[in-house]
Amino acid sequence: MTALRDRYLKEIGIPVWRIRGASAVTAPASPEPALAIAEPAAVVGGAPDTDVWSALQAKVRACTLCGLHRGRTQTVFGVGKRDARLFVIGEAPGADEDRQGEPFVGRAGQLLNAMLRSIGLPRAEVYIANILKCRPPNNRDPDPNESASCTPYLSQQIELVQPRVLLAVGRIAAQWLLQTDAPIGRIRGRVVSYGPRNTPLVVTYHPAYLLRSPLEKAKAWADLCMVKELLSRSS
Amino acid sequence: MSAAVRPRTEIRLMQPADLKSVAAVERAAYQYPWSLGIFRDCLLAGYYCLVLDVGGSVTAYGIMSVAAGEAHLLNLCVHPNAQRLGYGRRLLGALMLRAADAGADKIFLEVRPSNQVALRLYASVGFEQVGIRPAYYQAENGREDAVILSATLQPSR
Repeated sequence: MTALRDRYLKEIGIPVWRIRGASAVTAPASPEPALAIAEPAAVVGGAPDTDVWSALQAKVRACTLCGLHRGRTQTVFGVGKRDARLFVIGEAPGADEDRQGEPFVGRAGQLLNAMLRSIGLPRAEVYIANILKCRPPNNRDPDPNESASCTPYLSQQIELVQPRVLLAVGRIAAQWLLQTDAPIGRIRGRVVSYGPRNTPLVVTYHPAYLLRSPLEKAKAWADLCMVKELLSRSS
Repeated sequence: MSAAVRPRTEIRLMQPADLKSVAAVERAAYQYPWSLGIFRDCLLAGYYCLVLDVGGSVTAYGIMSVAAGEAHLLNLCVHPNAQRLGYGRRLLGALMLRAADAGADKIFLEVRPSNQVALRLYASVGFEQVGIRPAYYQAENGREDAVILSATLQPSR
């Protein structure tokens, strides 16, 4: 009966939602990566690396390269595992992030966490940073000068983490990283080699956009499956 | 931290160090790719060889010879995973500017009639068909013609 109903719904183009729970999420076929990580985020051992990270963090905290420093409560450096296999790149801090000093908090952040969890990656297992470390007023789009002066920080973070896969989240991040005007619907759904190490870069929708346009979640799920596939291939 | 990720795209001259990446893009894009040796010869011959570098990764390139007031576009290629992002158009624009700077007033190229994406790009920047070279390309079942396209270049001031 349910199968028949589902078929009718599918036929008339109505997606069937299921409660997220034990058996509901059918993860992609490849085996689950190890989940046995219980440490909190941003824990790292080893001295020299820590020095580079603290130096970079101090530089960001004191940065006045663009006008955005005047309006910030604090800088939002980035968070996560410093040898993460997945590096998530967002756009810029919003109000919640500016207040808490951490990227992707609030509702969009929770959705991002759920998205990552759906491919077996707890938030603490990845590294998350934005292109801009300071909040643009009224959440306006970053202007190119702001992005240009801020991206060297992101570059160094990527260089330090040396992730296996990059995931750009949202139009602004994707367009900036790939320097294209193409709409995000055209940029996503592919794997582009990025940077001197030819790191595979996947692009997907911003969780804030997915909250407004839940029908696009299917495509975001496809993108995440691609990430999972790339990660399992590179291990 | 010598080779840091540079989140930007730039068009620059092809270097000998790029040859391996260029040949890899070529293999990914074409069924009958040029060998690395051909690209090396193009550099040695002094052709205009440009690459489009995305964040430090060679993603597209173009090769053109200019002689006697005519430019000949020999190869223009974007990695299949990076197509439809505007890179081919940008590279083509850069090549046409250089051709004009080098004194060419016309630019020619051959393209497979089956390559609709390329044909659309060339038409959109003013290329027109001027001829056919029969059975020019290797193809899966025998040979494929080449369409010869030409555009007039705006003289640089």
